[in-house]
Amino acid sequence: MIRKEDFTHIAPVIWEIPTTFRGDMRVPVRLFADASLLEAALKDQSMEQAINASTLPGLAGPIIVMPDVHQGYGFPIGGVAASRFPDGVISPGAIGYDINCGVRMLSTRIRYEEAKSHMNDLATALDIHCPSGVGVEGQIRLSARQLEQVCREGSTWALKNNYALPQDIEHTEQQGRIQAANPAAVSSRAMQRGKNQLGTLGAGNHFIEVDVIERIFDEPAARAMGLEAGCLTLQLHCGSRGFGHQICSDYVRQFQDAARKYNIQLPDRELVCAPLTSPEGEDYLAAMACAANYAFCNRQVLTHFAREAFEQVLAGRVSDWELRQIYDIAHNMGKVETHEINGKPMQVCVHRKGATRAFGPGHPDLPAAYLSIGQPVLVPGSMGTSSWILVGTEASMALSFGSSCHGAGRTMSRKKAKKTVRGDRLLDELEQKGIQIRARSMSGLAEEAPQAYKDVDAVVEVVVNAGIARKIARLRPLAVVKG
Amino acid sequence: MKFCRFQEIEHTADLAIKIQASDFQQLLGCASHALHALLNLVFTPSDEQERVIKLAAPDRESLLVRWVEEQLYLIEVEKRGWRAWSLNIPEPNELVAVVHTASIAPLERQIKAVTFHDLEIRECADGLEAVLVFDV
Repeated sequence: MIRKEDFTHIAPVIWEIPTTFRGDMRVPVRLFADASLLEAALKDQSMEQAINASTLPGLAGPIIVMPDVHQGYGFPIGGVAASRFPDGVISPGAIGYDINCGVRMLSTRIRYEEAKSHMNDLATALDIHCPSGVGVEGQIRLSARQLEQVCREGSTWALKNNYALPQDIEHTEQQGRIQAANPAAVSSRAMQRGKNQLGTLGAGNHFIEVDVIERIFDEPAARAMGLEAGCLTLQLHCGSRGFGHQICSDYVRQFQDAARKYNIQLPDRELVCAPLTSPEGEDYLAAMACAANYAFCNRQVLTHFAREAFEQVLAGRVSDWELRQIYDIAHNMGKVETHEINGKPMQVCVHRKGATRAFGPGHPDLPAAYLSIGQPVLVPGSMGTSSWILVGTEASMALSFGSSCHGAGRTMSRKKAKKTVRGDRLLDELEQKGIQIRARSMSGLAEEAPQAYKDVDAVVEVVVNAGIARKIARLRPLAVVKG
Repeated sequence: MKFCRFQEIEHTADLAIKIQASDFQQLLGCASHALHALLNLVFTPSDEQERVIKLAAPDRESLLVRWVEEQLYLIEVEKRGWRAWSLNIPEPNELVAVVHTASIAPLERQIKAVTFHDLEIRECADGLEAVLVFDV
């Protein structure tokens, strides 16, 4: 059991567990938290999992833990690990089963007042246009050849097939396409699971949400993103569906052998890894890129359906119903990036699991519109609470391998949430607050109750105080479609 | 005496179940019963189908994961569950099962995958036990 006394308080919101804490640690663990979020992090297995992750071979720096951390499996949700390229390792469990689970946000010029009376219809239309639920299949049926194209092309496939606008692609992390993708590294089972799920939201904590911009904190940056106080935005949270789940399952299983083959000793089998340049490591990177591209394309197709919903409900009722993409970012991904480590540029494979890339101003990977302000960091809250738009900073490059938080972070188990909260009552409470909810099941709604999550505002304060992100805008929810 | 016990245990974000059974063969079956309970699997009137499943793995834990993965795959892709099964372990870390599948009602809960997190099959007072963590 890890106690507060085991940490060294190295900066106002940065806490470190040194390598002396446990004999097998190769690097320290560094947690971004205030006193309250530190206490929250100690309530489950999060920090033990971060310490286990610090035993991975070839790490280039500390394991970084975000304030929204919670217990996962193998690697904590809200964790970042950078392994040296080419002599480090890649760990599928440190990326997660929902490869490239991520968030996309779009801005509008629709003022809340003019759309207020249509929110009920808009929630219903989004629910109808964007298929959601467990194992749900979409309108698109991909042939094997088309699925391979999606694997290779990501969002570009959506552009070629009239599901995207050019600006959508430009405003997507890595332009929605990871080059290393190779469908030959993907199992037939994954292909089977992926062929009918493109353009679907899925279930669990995935959602579509309409928000209103409540407050702008940085006018020039907000202008660059097309944000205006009092106007609506749209968020999408989902990933690579069964396609990515199967790829991760396949490789976690295969890597059990790889870990033995390369004589890698680990405290948890879910952390299994392989050298980045080994045949196993290269195959996983190629398959992971396929899932990442599938997820980018999935969010893009859902965006197209959301645009149809907006047009159906708002055309002729508001002056401009267009949805303009602000950004699309992954929060479960492994990427080879260049970071300055000990004063020298070094290539590393940054594993982000429940953590968002947060590159600062001037980074060459940013689109022209954001080059001077930094990369948008999208931080959804829990259902019924604020969401945030932040930007990455130079300090995030130095302190967190260019990463920031990804959400509020759970604090209550699903089991306890269902015991504590009644889905139908929660639905009434949220609707009384003026939030339209569309949910497949009341028990699923209870599991995702705001009480089950940390305070997203406190999480944001920590990353801002740590200097790894800057506030741009705060949003208030108006309509939520739960997967 | 043969038995199967399982209970959901606390996990902040995902689902975890502790399963206990008299021996390894029962433990596999117990994992299936637990999965059915977690998913609240409801079979709908339909034609039953029979299929043979053969699995091999380097160790018992991996075999347990593969066994559960087989069911998760069938549930998602074919919308069918295992209504009944007979199971044999001809060699250590190998299994052959005859399963009877049937259509299932739409699910309200998603299980993305079964993990290896902290997975170890241990001896307990009257048999074997393991904790399975599912990504949801």
